[in-house]
Amino acid sequence: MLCDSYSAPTPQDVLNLVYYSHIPTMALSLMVGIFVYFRSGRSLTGSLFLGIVLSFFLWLLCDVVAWVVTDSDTVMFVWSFFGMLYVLVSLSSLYFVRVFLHKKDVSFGTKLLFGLAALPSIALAATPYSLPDFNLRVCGADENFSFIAYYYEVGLVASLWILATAFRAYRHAPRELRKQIVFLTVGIEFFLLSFFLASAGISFLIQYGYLDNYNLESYGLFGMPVFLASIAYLIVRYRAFSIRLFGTQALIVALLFLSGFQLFISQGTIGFAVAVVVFVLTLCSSILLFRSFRMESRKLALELANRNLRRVDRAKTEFIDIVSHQLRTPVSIIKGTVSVLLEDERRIPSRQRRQLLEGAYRKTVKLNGIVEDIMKVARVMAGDYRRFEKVDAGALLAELTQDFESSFQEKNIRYSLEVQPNLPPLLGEADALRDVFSNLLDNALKYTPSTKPAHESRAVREERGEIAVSVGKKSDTLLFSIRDNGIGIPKAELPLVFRKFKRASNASGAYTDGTGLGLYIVKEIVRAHHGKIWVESELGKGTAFFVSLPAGKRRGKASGNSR
Amino acid sequence: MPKVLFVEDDPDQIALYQYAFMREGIDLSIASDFAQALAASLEERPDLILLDLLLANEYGIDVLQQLKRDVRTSAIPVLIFTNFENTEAREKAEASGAIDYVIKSQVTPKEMAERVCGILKIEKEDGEKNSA
Repeated sequence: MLCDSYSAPTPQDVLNLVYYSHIPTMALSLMVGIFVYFRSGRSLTGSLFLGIVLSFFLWLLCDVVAWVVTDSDTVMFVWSFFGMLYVLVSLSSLYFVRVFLHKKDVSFGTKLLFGLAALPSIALAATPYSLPDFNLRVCGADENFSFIAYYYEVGLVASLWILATAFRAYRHAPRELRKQIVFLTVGIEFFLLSFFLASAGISFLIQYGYLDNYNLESYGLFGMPVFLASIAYLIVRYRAFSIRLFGTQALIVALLFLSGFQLFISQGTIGFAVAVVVFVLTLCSSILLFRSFRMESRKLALELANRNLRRVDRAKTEFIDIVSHQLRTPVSIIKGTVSVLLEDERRIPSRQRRQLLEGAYRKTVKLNGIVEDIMKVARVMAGDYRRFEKVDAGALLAELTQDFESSFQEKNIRYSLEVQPNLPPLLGEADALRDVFSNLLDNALKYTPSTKPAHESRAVREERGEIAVSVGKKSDTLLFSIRDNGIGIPKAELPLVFRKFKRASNASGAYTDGTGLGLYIVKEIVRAHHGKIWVESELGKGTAFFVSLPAGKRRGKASGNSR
Repeated sequence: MPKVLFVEDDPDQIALYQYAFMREGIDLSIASDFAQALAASLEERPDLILLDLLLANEYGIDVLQQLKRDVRTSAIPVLIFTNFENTEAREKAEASGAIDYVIKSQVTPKEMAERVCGILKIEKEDGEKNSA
């Protein structure tokens, strides 16, 4: 059936606008989606982003067909997809944001919810059988109102859910991540808003007589690739150089695509000749533009590299300043003690001599610890962890418990270890993993003051100190927790504890003998083992460190000790 | 007996210097953080302050500037005695009025006690000249 009484066929200027708004948008969006997909190593985030882009691309394709074609059967065929694609774009945007912000896939329940929300868009899709009316005047389907209301509502709920997810993530995020969250949320919300205006909002307003110009739909599409590109920019983690170069390439290709398309739709010899000239000129200027941009980009990349080198150099100088301070402190005491003993050997009372010698010995041990830590920092910086083997987590913790037993007794600390039975082994370097838990236990011990006034820690507490260690299986990982009821860490300083030489501001009152490198080493080793570490703490009540490490398969013999 | 305020938080360092300064006839009092250092310099009126630059997460230059701003403490000579060293810290210490910048690991306690004695002697002579 043809739209015979299609009283006002779409005028050429409207069609031109449709081509201009849809075709470059399709080309750009698709390129951005594919680029992100491959650039992000085909990750879930990249796949979901490609999902948004593909749904959007198909929607644009259907829209072009609906505008251009006058065969009502074809129009009706593509019309069936509008609702589905609208729902798909909204839900995939929501899915993408949740995965991007939470750094993990959504739960099965949430997926089920998404599926249920999308189901009516298929079941109630506008088909010639379910359609209340087909408007021959504009050659378009008149969809059921409740169906339109449904897919707008899905879009609205998705948009609000994204806002709520982002708001919650923003509140709990460290400062450096907050900018990214705002950037992502603004980008995706504007994308959905433009899509809503282009796909539904304008039609809705026209249908109810508030507007009378369908062309407005097309304008909404112009901004969308920009929002998509800005989100893509975020996904590839501010790798400004590549994305800018890519952006230029994408724009040039879209421009060529558009001017090439003109060759096929131009009418008459003169029209065709003009289209050819435009195409050739566009091609030449595109090549020039691309070349000059590539040169600029190289220059920019060099500048960036230079800036990065200067930053690294500054960081190294700072590191050396602090490390030399750390090394000089024990050296100055050992040297001072030896010099005093040499000069005054016979005159020093024996009790004082012993006190000085004990101090020098403590500092020798500390010096040794600092040198060991510096060696470990050098190793974690090189990322040199490859000799992975199966490690029995329970045995490892039991051995460490034995090592620490005398220290726990000395500080009168109640210690408990809870190991879930039948744990799968860990896959990693036994010595490095030992360092992780030894450092965390040592940390808990340092910042859990003793009940004994004579202890070297300056702070003394009334209630007995407690340290509890546990390990259990959680999906594909082993989750360790190391809790203490010590001095705690101020909330504002929690994000800083894993940095080099950072110690909580209240830590010095209890203990000052650390190198300030322990937790940095722990974090880097956990990262090299594809795990995660995080900390929860309440000032004055205690601290809990959590380590999650991927579990290996149970077959084969696991070692708890490689010493 | 000259009085020196030692701003230091390491108990082993304190024990060592208390012994060495006592041998040279100097009364060494201790402040183990910067707040204590400011309070002690007002209450005890020391003849000299040995100031470390890094105590826990605090930076000693601020304390030096506060001591020099306050008319009640500005006349007390302050010697930076630390294991932390960089050009910026040295320049700031000098600009803020420190009389010297000594690296702990580069001197022995006896050498330091003798140096302090020398400074106190000069200060005393200057004081006598000014009052005469």
